[in-house]
Amino acid sequence: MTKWEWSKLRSGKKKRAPQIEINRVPDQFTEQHGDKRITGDLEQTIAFVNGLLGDNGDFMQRRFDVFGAFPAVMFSFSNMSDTALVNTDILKPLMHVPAHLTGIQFDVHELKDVILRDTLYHGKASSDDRFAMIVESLLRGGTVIVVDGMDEAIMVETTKVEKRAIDQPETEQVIRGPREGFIEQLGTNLSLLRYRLPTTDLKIKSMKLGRVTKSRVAVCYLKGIVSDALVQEVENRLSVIDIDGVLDVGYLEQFIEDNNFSPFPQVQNTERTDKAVANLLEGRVVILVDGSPFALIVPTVFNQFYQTTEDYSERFVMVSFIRLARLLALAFSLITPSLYVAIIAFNPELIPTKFAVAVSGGRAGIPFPSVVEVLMMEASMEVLREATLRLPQQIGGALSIVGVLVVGQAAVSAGFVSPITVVVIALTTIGSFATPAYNAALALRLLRFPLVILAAMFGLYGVMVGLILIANHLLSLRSFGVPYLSPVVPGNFDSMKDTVARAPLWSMKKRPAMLHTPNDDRVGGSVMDELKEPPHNTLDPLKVGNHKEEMKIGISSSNNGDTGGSDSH
Amino acid sequence: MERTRRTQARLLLVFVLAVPLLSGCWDRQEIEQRAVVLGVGIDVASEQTVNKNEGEVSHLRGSFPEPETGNIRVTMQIAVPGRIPLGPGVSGSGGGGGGAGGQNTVWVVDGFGQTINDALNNMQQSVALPLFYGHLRVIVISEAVAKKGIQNLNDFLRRNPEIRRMTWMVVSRGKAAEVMRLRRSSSVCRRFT
Amino acid sequence: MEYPRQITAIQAAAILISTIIGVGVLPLPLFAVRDGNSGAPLLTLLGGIIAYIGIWIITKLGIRFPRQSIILYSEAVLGKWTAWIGNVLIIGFFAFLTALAAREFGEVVITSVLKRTPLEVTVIVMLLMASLSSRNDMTTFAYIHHFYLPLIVFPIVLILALSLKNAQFINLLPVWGNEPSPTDMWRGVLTIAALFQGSFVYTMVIPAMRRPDRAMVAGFWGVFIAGGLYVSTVIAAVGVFGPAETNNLLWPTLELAKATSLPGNILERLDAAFLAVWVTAVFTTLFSTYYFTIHAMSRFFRLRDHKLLAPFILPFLFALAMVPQNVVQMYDIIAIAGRLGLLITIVYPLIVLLVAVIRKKRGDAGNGKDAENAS
Repeated sequence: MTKWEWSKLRSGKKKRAPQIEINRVPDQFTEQHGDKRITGDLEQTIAFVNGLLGDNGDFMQRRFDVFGAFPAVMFSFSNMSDTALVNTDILKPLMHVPAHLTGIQFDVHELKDVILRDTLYHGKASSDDRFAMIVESLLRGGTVIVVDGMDEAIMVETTKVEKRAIDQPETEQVIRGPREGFIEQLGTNLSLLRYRLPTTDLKIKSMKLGRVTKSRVAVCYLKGIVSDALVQEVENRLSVIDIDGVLDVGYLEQFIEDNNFSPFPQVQNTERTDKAVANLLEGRVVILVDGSPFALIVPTVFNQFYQTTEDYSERFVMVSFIRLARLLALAFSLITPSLYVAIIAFNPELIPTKFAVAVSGGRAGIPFPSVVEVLMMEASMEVLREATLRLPQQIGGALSIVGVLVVGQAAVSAGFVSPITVVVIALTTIGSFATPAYNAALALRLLRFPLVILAAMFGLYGVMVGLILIANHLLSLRSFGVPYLSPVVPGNFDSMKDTVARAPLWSMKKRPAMLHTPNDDRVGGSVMDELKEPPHNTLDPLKVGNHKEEMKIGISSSNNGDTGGSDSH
Repeated sequence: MERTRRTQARLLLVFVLAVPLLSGCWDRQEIEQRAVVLGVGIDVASEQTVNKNEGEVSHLRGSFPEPETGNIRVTMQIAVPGRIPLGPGVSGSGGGGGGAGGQNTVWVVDGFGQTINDALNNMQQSVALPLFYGHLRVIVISEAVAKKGIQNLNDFLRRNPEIRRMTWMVVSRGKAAEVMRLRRSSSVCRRFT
Repeated sequence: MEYPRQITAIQAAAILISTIIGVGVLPLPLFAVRDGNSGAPLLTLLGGIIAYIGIWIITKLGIRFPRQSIILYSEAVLGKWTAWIGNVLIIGFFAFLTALAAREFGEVVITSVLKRTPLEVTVIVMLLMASLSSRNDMTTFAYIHHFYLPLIVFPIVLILALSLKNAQFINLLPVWGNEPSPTDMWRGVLTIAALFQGSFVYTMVIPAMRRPDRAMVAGFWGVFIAGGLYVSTVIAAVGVFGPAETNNLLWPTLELAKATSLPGNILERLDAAFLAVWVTAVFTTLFSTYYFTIHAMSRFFRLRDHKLLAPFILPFLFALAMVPQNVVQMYDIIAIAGRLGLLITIVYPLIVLLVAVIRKKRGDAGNGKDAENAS
């Protein structure tokens, strides 16, 4: 029995347990009028809608006659709908009988079909008789037309909400690679995904979460590449969420992650479209929420937090080296201060004699023990970081200069802290900045405080105890059943090609095994053979004028994971 | 109800377990609060000098007969923090003439006693900070002491976990104390490092 | 390619190695030299072979009953009440082993690095660590051992490699020891074989293995690598210090770390650093035995979950750890208890195996009722 199935069983058991009546998050409208339906009586409808929305300043209702014969009313929120569109595509054809309909007499029962089929020049129009749907359409910026005697209302999607331009994500900048990032509008984000994945396998399942915000959530995956069980589990976990509002995708993250108390993020988020697509291709699921420019990627393993998208664009030797540097930075940000405290206060015999004596001299006038010094500096560093984070960039720069240079220098010359401590804290801080994933860096930033305290109690022994506890925690973490440290533990040679070192793309033939992808071929089987052939040095000066050898176009078979048009699922 | 009680029990457990940890820091001794011993010299001492110089630290004066291996005088080089500059800036200001009040990078301190432990305890009386042998580099034994056998000394030094096994143990032809007092103008604390 | 959720052969071998290599490595050369003189490496080798016989028996049993741990199948084989005695002994012995390992490392720590820290604190920290980690499931148990394996093997290999330049071959001669006395030799072999008996946790690992039929290979490699490291440690310690000096050292391996230094003066000395890294080795051993204790208890009492037992036995283990008055008495107890423990970890399984063969009892691979899943 796999872990996943087991957890499913477990959750199933929980569901069967007698449930206590939960106080539902309130939404008055659906409670009171959940299944109220429209009647043919126009005045009654107007009265009802007015009672519900009429006291809003931006609510607009306009009476008119359809084709000059049927009294009707149009509702919309003026600021959310596109007025020009409403005028030309809705009101004009409705009020002015179109040429092809002149002289024909309709019954009021036929009117709905005539309007939808023959009159409106708008792609997204539908009809419904439930007030719940009508009101929701209105609230999302739609335009609703009710005609006297017609027992259904016509809803036209005329939403026009301002959106910002697609630009480079601030949090994940790259030197090489695409520059576009997600924005707040879900529709745009989905279009960005579709633009990169023109395949029938890209499935986007949507649901609405949040009783008040009714945020649209899109679960995206590549059918045939992702494990079906994973998609099912993601949907299961999402569907049980019951909250008043989902303002950011981070809200969802906290509901679907495996361990809420862990400092480590078990769900990755990204603003980058290419990163989301790359993860889809590896067999992960991407979750988007309307109103949030971040996408969630599940399942996540620890490795992903020190990898960036440009790692796959640059040459693999350099990337492996850079990743090593990042890992070093990660280690720095976690253990430098505690190692410093342990060595200075417990085991000075570990450092070279000259240095030990020098350090001892540097610390001679310091009134505090090293642990207090380090904790103080760390705390002020955190404050400084938090302060510069929220300030406008111009002031932020100035503040960081004041904070780091002036205060640091002054603190040293005032005999408040020792110069070595400043170096150590600087190393730590820089280390934590070098981690690509902000949330992972945050976890390590937090964890180094207990480590420092352990170091102050037990020296190196304490540091080691702390590290073991952290490592054990990491080893016991799972993200949707995937062990957090895979593919290192449990080891998988093929997937380990993309951990600290990144193997060349052509050698990573399989998708990560930990994701249990039904289709795990990433690179075509014959790539290596073709690459190994002697190069055609076409422009070699010796060969100029020679006949160009026949070359195949493209290096891999065209269906790496894409079943193409034949969507057999 | 059940849940709160469990939470309370857990919290209680955490607090109980935290108590022994909170009283921690038994071994914390900052580097600047340690007297870093760089070298130790061991000489024989006459009973008179010992009696004159020995504080009544480990035993009352004259209450113990002189041991077979004779009395001991220990001379120690202790690094003076702050005299060795951080970085290459002001180098070699120490050493020099080496006279009184000069910028000595090391203190040389004497201690007398019937055994080495005795002598070290006595020496601790004249040094404010606890002696720290982690950086001890050389142990100089005068010929006179060596002739009497160094088994005792060796055993004592080996049992101290601070002293590394890589420490040199050398025998000097003259007095070990003189070796400890040797100075060279270019040395900072590098004499034995 | 489906990745296995359960323990692989490599992980099983890792569990064995990291369980066997623990705090016992520190006094190991002393134990070997005390009874074997310069024949210490030979003694260690023989101890390893005895330990391997133990593993072989356990593995045979494990393959015979691939879905149960010894607590359950011994009942099927020996009958409920006979097995009951054996099981109580096993649980008690492993509790004792855990306590002594924690105590031993506590002594090492307070002797060489944290001189003013109370023994109780270091012991309780180790036990607490093991207790916290024992709340995990069997898969995580395997992951933890797998993860720490390099951290255990690397420092010891490093120390051995660095100390080679100080070693003298002459110290190892004659290989059978000076004036070997069979009683001493025999005692020494048993003492050293007792250092391997953490490997008894294998009885708990085999039922959780993906392919119990590969347990034999994994068991061989686990004992082979651990035994190889043991023998090399003894060779290095005796080679560097000589038998006479080794006899004077309580923890010769630690002294070995003190006597070596890294080229380039990155660290001035290795002992404190070695001891810090060695915390992981001790932790994995402690973790294994602790986990085994509560796992066996949960099977014994037919509990579904072992998690609740983890904090429950902590005070008892702590009290057990505090039984020896001092380090000398502790080592006496360890030597005696270890040799007696061989009765439990080797002779008892042998009896079970023999009876099983005679009574033709065989575990049903598809026996779902008593089956232990990976939890």
